[in-house]
Amino acid sequence: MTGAIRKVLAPLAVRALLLREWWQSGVTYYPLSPRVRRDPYPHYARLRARDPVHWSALMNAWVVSRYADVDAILRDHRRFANDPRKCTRSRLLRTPLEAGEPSMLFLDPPDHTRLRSLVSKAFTPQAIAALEPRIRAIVNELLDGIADPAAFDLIEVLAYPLPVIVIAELLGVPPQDRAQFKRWSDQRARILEPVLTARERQEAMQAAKELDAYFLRILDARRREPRADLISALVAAEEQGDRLTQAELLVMLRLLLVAGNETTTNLIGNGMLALLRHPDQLHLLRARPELLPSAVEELLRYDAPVQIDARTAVEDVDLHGRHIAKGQAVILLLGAANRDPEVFPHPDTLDIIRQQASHIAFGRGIHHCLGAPLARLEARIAFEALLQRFADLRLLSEEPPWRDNVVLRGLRALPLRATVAR
Amino acid sequence: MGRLRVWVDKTRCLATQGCIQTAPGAFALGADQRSEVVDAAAVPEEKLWEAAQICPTGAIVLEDAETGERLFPT
Repeated sequence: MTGAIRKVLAPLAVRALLLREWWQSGVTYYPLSPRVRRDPYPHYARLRARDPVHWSALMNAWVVSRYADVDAILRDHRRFANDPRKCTRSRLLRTPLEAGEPSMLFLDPPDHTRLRSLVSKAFTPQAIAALEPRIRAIVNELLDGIADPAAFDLIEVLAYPLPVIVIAELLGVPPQDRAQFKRWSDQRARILEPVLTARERQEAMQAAKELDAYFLRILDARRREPRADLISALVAAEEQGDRLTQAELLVMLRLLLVAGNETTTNLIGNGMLALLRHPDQLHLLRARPELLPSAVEELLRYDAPVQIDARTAVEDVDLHGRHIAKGQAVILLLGAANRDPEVFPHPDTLDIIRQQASHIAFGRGIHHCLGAPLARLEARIAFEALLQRFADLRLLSEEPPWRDNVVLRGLRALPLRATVAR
Repeated sequence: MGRLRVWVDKTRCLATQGCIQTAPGAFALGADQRSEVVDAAAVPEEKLWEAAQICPTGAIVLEDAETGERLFPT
């Protein structure tokens, strides 16, 4: 098919599939549509109410949206696997395989267990709590760098650089290299999206090669002269022999360097946007800063940085009268589960003193976000510093631009005007 | 059994299974897909501490068996 014909036919094919989807279930879900990207929540509400286990012919996958179901599937790694190679009946989940060896995100036990256990001690709540003074110093330094408080982009000055600097220091790589980390992170993060263009795939592979070359130099240096950093600890594990191969070590470092960047950026960006759109909640938080930890949880629930997770059924499973067959892909709408009225009364209301069940922004089960304590801490300190430093914060644009992602939901920019507190 | 009492707060358990990997035999996944204590004496006490500390939600509670004082999370 030539390009011109494809341009005409592809949207028609999409519409035909969506029409059939609507005919069969009374609801459609098309995450690539710009309207869904801007505000997916009304679409999630229809899916939850009308068709909680929804067949998407377009994605060739089941779409699960209720809290109880998403929670149960994430806990059940025996029946619902992460390894995309087990997804034999859809190409949807295979993008991580198109751009290099899969990390532990895309592995099942026993490999996942072995790899995660090598790094889990570095990310326990206690280990991460020790970083608090250093993170506060980095946040203050970054906020000192704001040239004009009357017009600045929160993403550029704080939300993007903060997680990169913190993870670089934790791993033991020079934070000055962070411009490169940003490019690599952005290019690698694309593999989480359901559709990759040929160019994105090529860039993701190139980024993996460059990351490997970068880390090989650092590994060499740490082998000669170990330091008190995570890379040295992993080098020691590799040298012990059977626990970690060099190839696995490089994949792990790639993952650690890039996994928490865009997500934490989005937590700070989406969270600040939500607070600024709910002045009553912002006011409450200013008056009662002890609510910060609970506010971070509510912001994670309200507009989660990771909207979608996915699994493959490794056996046939029946759910709400639908038959999920072995080898089929299951899309889990974390953002929909987090707004399920069965679990969160008035789910579309931002309420920073909510005391209900825990959100699913960090997942569940054996793949529960390793970096969750770090993301929570960085977000808490970032919000705390912003509220302390600025007596007044306002949006410069009522509709700041969203990135065109499906899985990682976040802003391209968040232009703000601030008045410095005296 | 030492002087450590351990139990799992099931309302907090996310089934990350760090405890089961750290202290196999002491913890296991229940039918409700939540961790539970099966035999705390199956591992040395320091493994129970390690298991409690690795839990991201602090769902594993350690208490002094005699006084009932909560030792972790505090």
